[in-house]
Amino acid sequence: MRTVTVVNARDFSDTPGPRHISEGEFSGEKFRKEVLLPAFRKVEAEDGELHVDLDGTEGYATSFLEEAFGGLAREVGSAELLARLTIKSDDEPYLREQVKGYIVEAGGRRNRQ
Amino acid sequence: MTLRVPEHFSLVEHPEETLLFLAELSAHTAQNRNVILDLRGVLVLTPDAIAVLVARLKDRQFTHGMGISGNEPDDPGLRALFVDSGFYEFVTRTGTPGTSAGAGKIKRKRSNVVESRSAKALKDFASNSLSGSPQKWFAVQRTLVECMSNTKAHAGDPSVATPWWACVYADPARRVAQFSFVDTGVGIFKSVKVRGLQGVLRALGITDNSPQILRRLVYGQIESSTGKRYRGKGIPEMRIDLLDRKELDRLVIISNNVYADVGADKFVELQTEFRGTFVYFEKRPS
Repeated sequence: MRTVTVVNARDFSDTPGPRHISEGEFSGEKFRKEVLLPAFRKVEAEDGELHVDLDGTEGYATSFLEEAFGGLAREVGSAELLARLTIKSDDEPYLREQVKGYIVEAGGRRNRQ
Repeated sequence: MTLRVPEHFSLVEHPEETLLFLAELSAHTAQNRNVILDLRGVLVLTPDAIAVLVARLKDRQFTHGMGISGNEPDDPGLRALFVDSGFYEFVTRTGTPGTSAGAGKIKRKRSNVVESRSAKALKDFASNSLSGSPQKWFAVQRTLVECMSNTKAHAGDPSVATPWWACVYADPARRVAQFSFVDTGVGIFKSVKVRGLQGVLRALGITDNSPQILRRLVYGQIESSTGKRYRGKGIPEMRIDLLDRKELDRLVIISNNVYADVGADKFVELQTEFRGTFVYFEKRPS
């Protein structure tokens, strides 16, 4: 049985912000660099799973989610990410498919080297 | 000189009349004239017009440093709306001060970066005013953050900070929160990104006018039209929140020479140009 690492997005911020760090606080870029990528590297090393809970915030701009998850897929590869990632979003259930879409779309553009 | 404010002072409902007035006001200040705004004859007033006027009055490109003063509408209800808006913090009042009727509440915020905490403060203010406690209005939060982000994306020079103004008027009588967002950038159609896009469309033989291009942006059809990667998912998401998820109750976008009432599928060309981008949306508590 694989180990599961849980990331609660609300621990990063209850008010997620823009795409890039340069645009303002609580950006998708910062979430990716400081939270998602280290967590993914950990589960990759452990051959585990990454569970991201999106609930408990005030809501997400599309640019935040695309930069966080699409950006992560561009870095680690969409297939690798999808194989280890589960998303919880009871507040906004449509975000699960939206995030998967960003990952697939990003991976189609630039696959892992 | 005295300039009469139009009877129907509403960017959302009467854009041509309101934009013509703003253009006239700017033309006078450009000629180094102090202006007295005559508001007495205003019959129809919506908070979005006040939000835009306040944003313009804080913009030196618009005022050219000239003094602007104003009186009050004869109508007591409209007078209260002006008072509640904080309008007279920016305009020297002439005549007898009116008083707030407490019929509505306005909160404003000005910045030049994306402030998700300010978006929450505006959303909480409105939902608390209408529902008695702050509510989770995901689409409102998302739309405000998207608008702030677009201010940077559609600025003329990305290295220059472009201020935005966000304003919410919570009307307890109509049980609706009316959000107005205005930036003083170059507008969607003069942004580098969209000018490039227009070039790509022309190269593909697509000769859409500006209203048609805005409709493509709203419906997320740009990527499928051009085959090019385009990151602008924010505006299509607003349309989805309005039409599909029903989390917003009205959405109007004005940028440069285009007016769009998205719910009515109305995309029209304006005779008088709006400098920058204006987004108006409504939210009713469930």
